[in-house]
Amino acid sequence: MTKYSAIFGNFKWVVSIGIILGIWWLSTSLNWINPLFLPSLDDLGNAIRELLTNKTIYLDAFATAYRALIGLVLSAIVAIPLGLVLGRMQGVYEYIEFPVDFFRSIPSSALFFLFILVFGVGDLSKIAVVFYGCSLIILVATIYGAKVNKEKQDRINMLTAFRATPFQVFHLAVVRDALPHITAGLRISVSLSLVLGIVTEMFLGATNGLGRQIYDFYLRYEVPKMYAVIIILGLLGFAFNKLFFILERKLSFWQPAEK
Amino acid sequence: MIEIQVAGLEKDFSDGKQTKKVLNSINMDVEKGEIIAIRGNNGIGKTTLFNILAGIESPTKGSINFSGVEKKKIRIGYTQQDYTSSLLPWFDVLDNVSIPLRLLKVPKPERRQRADQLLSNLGFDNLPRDAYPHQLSGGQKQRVALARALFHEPHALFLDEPFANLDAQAIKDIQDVISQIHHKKQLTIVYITHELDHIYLADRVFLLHGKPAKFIDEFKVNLPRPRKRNMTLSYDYGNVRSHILTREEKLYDKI
Repeated sequence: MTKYSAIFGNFKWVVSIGIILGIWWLSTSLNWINPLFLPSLDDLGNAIRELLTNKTIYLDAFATAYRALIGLVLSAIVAIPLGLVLGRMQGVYEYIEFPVDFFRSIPSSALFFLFILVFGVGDLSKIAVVFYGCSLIILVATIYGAKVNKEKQDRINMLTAFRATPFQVFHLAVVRDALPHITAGLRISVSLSLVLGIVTEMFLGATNGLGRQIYDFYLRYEVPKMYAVIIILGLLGFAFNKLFFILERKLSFWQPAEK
Repeated sequence: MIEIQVAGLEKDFSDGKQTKKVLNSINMDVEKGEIIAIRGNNGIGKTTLFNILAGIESPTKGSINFSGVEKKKIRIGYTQQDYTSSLLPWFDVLDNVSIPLRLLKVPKPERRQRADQLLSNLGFDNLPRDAYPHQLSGGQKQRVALARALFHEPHALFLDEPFANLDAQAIKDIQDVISQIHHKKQLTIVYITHELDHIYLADRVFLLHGKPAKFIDEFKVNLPRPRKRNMTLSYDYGNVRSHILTREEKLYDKI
């Protein structure tokens, strides 16, 4: 290990943030970019401070997290058991493979207005969009994780030879084996749930939420505040992602890490 | 006394359109405490036969009886050819070894303590108890698989190529353990091997051949017990080895 990497090895993210902020500062102080598109760091700092001292932003963050998480949890509740069963029943899966692939190919955003028609403009339509987008991802990841491959078949054979019951085989080999795939699906879905949560708040008549705030600040040309909400949203997404990454590593500690 | 009686065993595989017979008229009587080695080409159906013997697959026809044991109460010790994938990667050594007792809902502290004791009894003191399969060498994984197969005091032990993909030292260690277990417990053991040097553990060697496959020959290995590796240098062993080799060469020349 070189002296440089010994000093900076664990702080690479600080260096990268420093570089981004440096470029930002140069761009705004030398007027390379119109302040309408990119506010100065001073203005941004003031906007963040102002937002954080007002309880509205916390209520908005909660509203966004609530919609995203409810949609995500419902997706997991439906898609994980269904995926585990379908992964084990290859014959049945072959019947539903086409509809799953077809619906997966329809962007959730294309269904916004259909969901408004069905569920109205309240929280339900926003949660339904998140549910639609995330459940198919989790379903496919779970099916893939539960599918029988050579290694899994060896484990199932071993347990069968020791006279394991079908439930014990399912619990000890199938579910446990599928967990890394399920958590990977959840991790992708966490980011997607936030994206969909935000977009639905912008376009599906929300009265609160970070997406609504971004849209309002955009309409009022309050660009520093718009940036401030985007950064708060980024931090929220980053925290969710890290949380699921830690969970994924805990559940699949025997596999090499994929960042 | 006959411990395992295999009679008229047949196995067909069907893909919905065609039915393929893989095993035909498999008959085998195994005496209590006997060690049987099974030889045959790759893909001939040895693992299918083992899966049927271990209760993993059902035969299309025929029967397997263990004398004096109800079918539901038969305990099988089984190690697979691919010992790496047969270990659960999310369990450490003690949890992997104690899987048979976990299935019987024995409390965790008790089964771990008994697994630890078994590993010591088998002379596996150097096996790290809290290591996970990805932290073990091939030989160590095979030791874990073997210990697990013995953990619930099986009526018979079925070992599918127990010496495959191991280095010379690991092969020697595993063979010594099998020989010791057999000597102490008079356990009935059936194993598959491709190496002629590994049949010295067996009392009889069965040759599986043909499509569909059946036992076409059997050879007696008359060596004193307990078996030791240096017995492979004996005149008697050389004779058996040579008979098997000659028979197999004739068979494969016909193909």
